[in-house]
Amino acid sequence: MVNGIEETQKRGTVAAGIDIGTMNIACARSDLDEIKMMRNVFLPINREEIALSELTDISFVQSDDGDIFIIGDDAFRFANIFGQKVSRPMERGLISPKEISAIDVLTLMVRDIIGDTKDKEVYCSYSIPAESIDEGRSVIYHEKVFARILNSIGVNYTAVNEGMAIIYSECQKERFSGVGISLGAGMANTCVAYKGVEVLKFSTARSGDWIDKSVSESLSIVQNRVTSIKERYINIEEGFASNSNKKIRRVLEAIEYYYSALVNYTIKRIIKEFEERVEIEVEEKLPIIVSGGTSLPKGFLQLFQSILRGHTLPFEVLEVRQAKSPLTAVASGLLVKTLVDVESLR
Amino acid sequence: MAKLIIKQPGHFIDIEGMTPFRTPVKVNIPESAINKVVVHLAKLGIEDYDIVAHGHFKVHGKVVKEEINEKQEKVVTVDIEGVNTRLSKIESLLASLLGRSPEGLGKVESLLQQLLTREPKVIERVVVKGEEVVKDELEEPEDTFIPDVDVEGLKVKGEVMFKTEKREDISKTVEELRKMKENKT
Repeated sequence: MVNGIEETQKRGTVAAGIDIGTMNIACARSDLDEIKMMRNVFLPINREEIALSELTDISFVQSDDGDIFIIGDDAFRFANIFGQKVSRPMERGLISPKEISAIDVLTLMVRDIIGDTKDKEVYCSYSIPAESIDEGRSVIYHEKVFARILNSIGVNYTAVNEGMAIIYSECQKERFSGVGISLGAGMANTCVAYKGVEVLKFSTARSGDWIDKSVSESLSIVQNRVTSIKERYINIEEGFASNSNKKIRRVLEAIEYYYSALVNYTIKRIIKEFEERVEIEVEEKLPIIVSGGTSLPKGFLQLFQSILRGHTLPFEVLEVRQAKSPLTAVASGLLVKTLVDVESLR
Repeated sequence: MAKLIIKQPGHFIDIEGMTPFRTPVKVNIPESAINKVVVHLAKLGIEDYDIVAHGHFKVHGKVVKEEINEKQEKVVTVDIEGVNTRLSKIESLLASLLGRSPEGLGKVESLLQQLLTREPKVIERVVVKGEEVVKDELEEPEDTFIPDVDVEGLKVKGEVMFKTEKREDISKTVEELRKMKENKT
């Protein structure tokens, strides 16, 4: 049997999946063996403060007027040097209305991460969150902005729910039935699927950034510092007490507390939404897949399993597992979906 | 609730106590906040906007438009489709009468009685005078609210560095999903 992916490529067609998150953008292409990732941030800098010669090893965007925006990981490094805050085109999971110049800079970042599209027919699925159940913001604006961005780049595009993308990526052996939870920086996206069909989907505003903000407010320390400590030291398996530095221990203790609160909240919402909105009886046991940067710390999976045992779910759980690659599972799942869609066009 | 409508693009409105938004916009605002909004817009120099609310009143010299409720009227029509269905049922019952025994006639008579005497169903719609508006229809956000992409004058310089991760072989997953979708259609 001819491999469908090879067949697609023979015809000069490229399938792609692009996960545009609050913290990172990830792109998987059918003709590349690697998934690319970049930070979804940029830093506008004053022309007077820096000479172009100092930017030789840096990736940046320059306008005809001479405005300069450093993009990606370099933006973080330079933000420290200039004592500035990076601009984030997305806020709490959705495109930010504050960043007026963000959309143009983001277009260039997306174009770069997708890569070469010359003489190719490119089909792309992009991730969108589900409607939030604990916050009033609509996702329609977000969906349409990215549609416009991808259209301007010249690719064919489809929006796919972020949680569902995890099901596509991780639930092949369960015939695409399961619960996919993407715990990103800005939002937690949950999708319950049964045999490849979305049964329930929703998002909540509590995720990585919420943990940082809550700890920052509780301990009256700068949020950036919390994020930095979290990324460097958090180890839920060993616990905060294992850290020898008293100040860091205090912050880690708070981070672990809010991690538990986040997991508890997410599980409760799954139960509530399932009971209120799902009418079908799910007879099979469903796996729960956790993914996203917020699920990375060692011991997170055990924490999730432990808190889950204290709840009764409206369906039987097969197992709780982490995505094979939590940072790129969504992009990978989107690529799966695109390839299936492209093959169906034949 | 009142509705604030600003058509001019390019403004970022951040009023204390409200979620920030960009223009152009149609956004709901509490009527109690109308004063605050008008003052804020005046500070930003925005004069071209509308506020649609219940009642009719002035706020700092700006006339607030009345909501269009007065222009609406309730229209009541008979459910013609329902009447046609009943008539065809009566027709088929009458046709069956020709072949019925005297004992069966009583039941048919009773059914006919019900169909002939039941009040016809009515449909109520709210329309705006001069044009028909179907209620409960989801309003699609206008495309004018989605900003245009303009990268004409922008160039990426320097090599963009990406982190990379090896991609797993997904061919079996794609095949399984494709088969599943084919079996459903």
